[in-house]
Amino acid sequence: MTLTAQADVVDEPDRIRHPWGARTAFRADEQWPQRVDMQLADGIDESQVDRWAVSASLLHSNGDAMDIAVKDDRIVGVRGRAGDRVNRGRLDVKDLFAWQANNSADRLTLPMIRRDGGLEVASWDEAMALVVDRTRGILEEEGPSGLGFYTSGQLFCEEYYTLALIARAGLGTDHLDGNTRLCTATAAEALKESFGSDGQPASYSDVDHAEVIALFGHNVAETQPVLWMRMLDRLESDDPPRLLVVDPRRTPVAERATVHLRPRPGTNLALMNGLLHGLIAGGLVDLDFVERCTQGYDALVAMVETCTPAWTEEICGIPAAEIDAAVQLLGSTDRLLATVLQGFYQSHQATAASVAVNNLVLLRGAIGRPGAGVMQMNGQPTAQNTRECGANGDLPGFRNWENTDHVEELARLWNVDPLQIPHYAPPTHAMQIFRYAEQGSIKLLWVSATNPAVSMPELSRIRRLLGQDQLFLVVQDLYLTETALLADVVLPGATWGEKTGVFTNADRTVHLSEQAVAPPGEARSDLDIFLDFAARMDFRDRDGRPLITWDDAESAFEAWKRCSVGRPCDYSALTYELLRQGGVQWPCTEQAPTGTERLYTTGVFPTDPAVCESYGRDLVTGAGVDETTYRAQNPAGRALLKGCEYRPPAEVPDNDFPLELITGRTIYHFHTRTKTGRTPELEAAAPEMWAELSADDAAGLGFGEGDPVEVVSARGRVRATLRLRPHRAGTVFLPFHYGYWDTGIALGPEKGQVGRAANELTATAWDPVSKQPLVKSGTCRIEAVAS
Amino acid sequence: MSRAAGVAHALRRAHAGERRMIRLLEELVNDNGQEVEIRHVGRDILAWSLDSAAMLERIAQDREVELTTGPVTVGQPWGPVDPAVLQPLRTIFLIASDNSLAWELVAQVAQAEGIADLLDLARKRHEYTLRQLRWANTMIKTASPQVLATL
Repeated sequence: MTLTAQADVVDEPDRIRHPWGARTAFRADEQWPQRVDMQLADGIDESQVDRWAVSASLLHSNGDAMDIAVKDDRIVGVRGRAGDRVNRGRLDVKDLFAWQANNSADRLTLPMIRRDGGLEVASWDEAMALVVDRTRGILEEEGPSGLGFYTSGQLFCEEYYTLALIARAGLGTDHLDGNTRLCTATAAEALKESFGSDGQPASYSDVDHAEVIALFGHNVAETQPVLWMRMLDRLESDDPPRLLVVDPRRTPVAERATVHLRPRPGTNLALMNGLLHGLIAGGLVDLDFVERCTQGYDALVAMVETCTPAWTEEICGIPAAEIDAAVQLLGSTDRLLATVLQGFYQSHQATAASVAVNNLVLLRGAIGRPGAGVMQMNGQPTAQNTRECGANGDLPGFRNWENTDHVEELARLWNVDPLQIPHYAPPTHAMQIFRYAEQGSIKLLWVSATNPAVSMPELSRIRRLLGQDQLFLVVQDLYLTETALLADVVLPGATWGEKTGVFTNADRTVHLSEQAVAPPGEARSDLDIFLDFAARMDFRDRDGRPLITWDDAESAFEAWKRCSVGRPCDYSALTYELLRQGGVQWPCTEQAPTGTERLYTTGVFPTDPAVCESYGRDLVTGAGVDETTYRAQNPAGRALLKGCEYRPPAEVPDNDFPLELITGRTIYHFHTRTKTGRTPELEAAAPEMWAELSADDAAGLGFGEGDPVEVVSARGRVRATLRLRPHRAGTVFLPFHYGYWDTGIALGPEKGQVGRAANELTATAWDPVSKQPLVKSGTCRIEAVAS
Repeated sequence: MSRAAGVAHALRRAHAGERRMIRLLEELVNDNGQEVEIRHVGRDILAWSLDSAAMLERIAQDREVELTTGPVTVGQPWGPVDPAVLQPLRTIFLIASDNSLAWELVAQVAQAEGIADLLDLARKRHEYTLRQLRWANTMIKTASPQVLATL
């Protein structure tokens, strides 16, 4: 059976059953007490550990600091780092157990090459020579437009920066993106739209000071369990913060809400416009802040003028009284912390709705002060670095591809001609990269540390396009994933604990993660693989010297620091030595040598045309705002209030598919279970696919708790076990983790076969602004299992 | 031409243009072979043209101007010249820029004749045409390097 996490307070918590552990209550403005979580292999105690390596979590975006225990050159456990600002010793249940997956017997230890239809073991020399030969051939025949890279939210900063340099200046391709497109592209875009640049305004420590925490599509209990522990510890004190939760599901967070709004999927922007209308109509706007620090107020007022509680009720299916209650809660304090995650990012009108949350905190003047701010969250552990280093296609250091000065600065840094760096169009986003591969104009796709054959929408299409003979697929991973099974070359990677580098969490905290043990067999760090490729390709700068001037993690980090100087994500005063003491928040400079807790404390934002990362986009169409228009608008350091009209979603329930379908996570798994599915405790806690539905809906269909059912959409069909949950009526939830590597059909279902991956059902559709796939916008029906 | 004829001309021109855009976008939105971003954003910007056309019809009725209501053809301004996805985007761009001129005429005649509600309509709806235009431009900018690199 599958466990349901319990929130009970217990002294000796079984952390599988009680994943948030015991409470350490604290009042507002006090320091969060320490609580050190540790898990060591059976029969090992702390005194037997040979050495500890500093690290942080690579299984979610919270960046919980920990030390990795090593005995006899094997990883034998983990211990939370007591002094670290992020977690103060605590660890997520995945971190406590999933280190075991490093030692899994089915790790890839040698490269593989497809020969006569099958994958066969090969030497590094053979594998890399083949990749280089293909790359050169494509460069000669079609040029750089034939090459695409799809990377991850789980590599390290140094690796992303190296990959970005290889793709942009080495090969000159615009086709580079990360799977962060599926998780945080909207966060980045929403921050650019409102504040001029990416960069998390607030800090986790704002939880310690907030009076109201408003969570928009953010099931923090399962996405960032340690941050939820921090909130739970405040909730257990005698001056608890009040929570506003916007989520169609009754999540563990919603259980603790003062107001829980359950909008109809696809209507987030309508709800946000209704809340903004309420603040404006109720006189709850900080007009002094708005006047001093923002631009666009009048247009926003006009945009939401008609979004009355009655209008909002009609569209979102939320009683007007609940909307009023939410408005009153939001307007009741100047210590308002708002957070946003996938419930908004993966839904219809993703960027517009997330920007509306920024509008909300700006209207309240709730930014840049303790307990007041907004956090556009990340889903993956190193997604922030994917964005900063330009492995998501943006230019490194949050540079603006439309700003000639920014491109020239980068060209000087890399000593290449500015024309060598593609900057003629927005970077090609992941969904478009896959489209080009489908159409055959991308001939080589190099996938590193991600598993699109399970994580992308509309999997039958993804499998078909990745399996085409015309596509040369390189996959770099730890295991033979569903994607690796389709590859022409498989490269065995080293992971967390087996290589060194830094990564940055969702509140800008940078942690060092040091190598604790050697990788298995001949597996290599992703950095070494990229450097080997670069050396074999013999990339040169404009003076004929090697383009890449570093040869290990620390020298790569020093190069990245130089790239970050003067940009919002300035790392210049960070060193590995400093990071060994604990996490530090960027910007970290000579002026701010211990890092920066929160941004925009003076009410000045990076919207100046010379500084900003983007001139903005039309929030309905995604059309770019041109530089001249942006300059004429003269934001001059003010934040931008941007309204947007609600539009109904493309796919709405009908007779064939009467239910709304949303997907999401469980606390026990990460991504496509590559590590957590190989961890006995986590796998036992959530071993099989399920579907959640309200009891009334289930009764209406003649189903009950535990019934095997099939969930069907216009794209596919999956089997799941039904769980009854008090979610919004008419809404089906599926976890997205389950794929096929541990089933009898590792390559996925054939046409007409029933699958189990939620993305069999999701549609190829994306937000036109952030290009994030809308995997939470679709419809389905539930059927009895065909006998 | 009488003064009323000038208003009627501008209204008919703007209305015919929005109907042309509607016809074009309906074709693209319902074409399953079309690129998904064009189909999806096409839905939203189609709604803008539908609204604009409806508003023009109301104001024309108030002013007793008869609008053309027969079948619309999209036409191919200067013929099909661009490959692949660039062609429909070019057609959107060209129709939108022609419609932008039409809204300019509506605004100018409304100002010259002092017709407040017509001026208000032109001010509000011209922006949607410009947004259609900018979208087509952005999409062409984004798609053209790959299309042209693989000709």
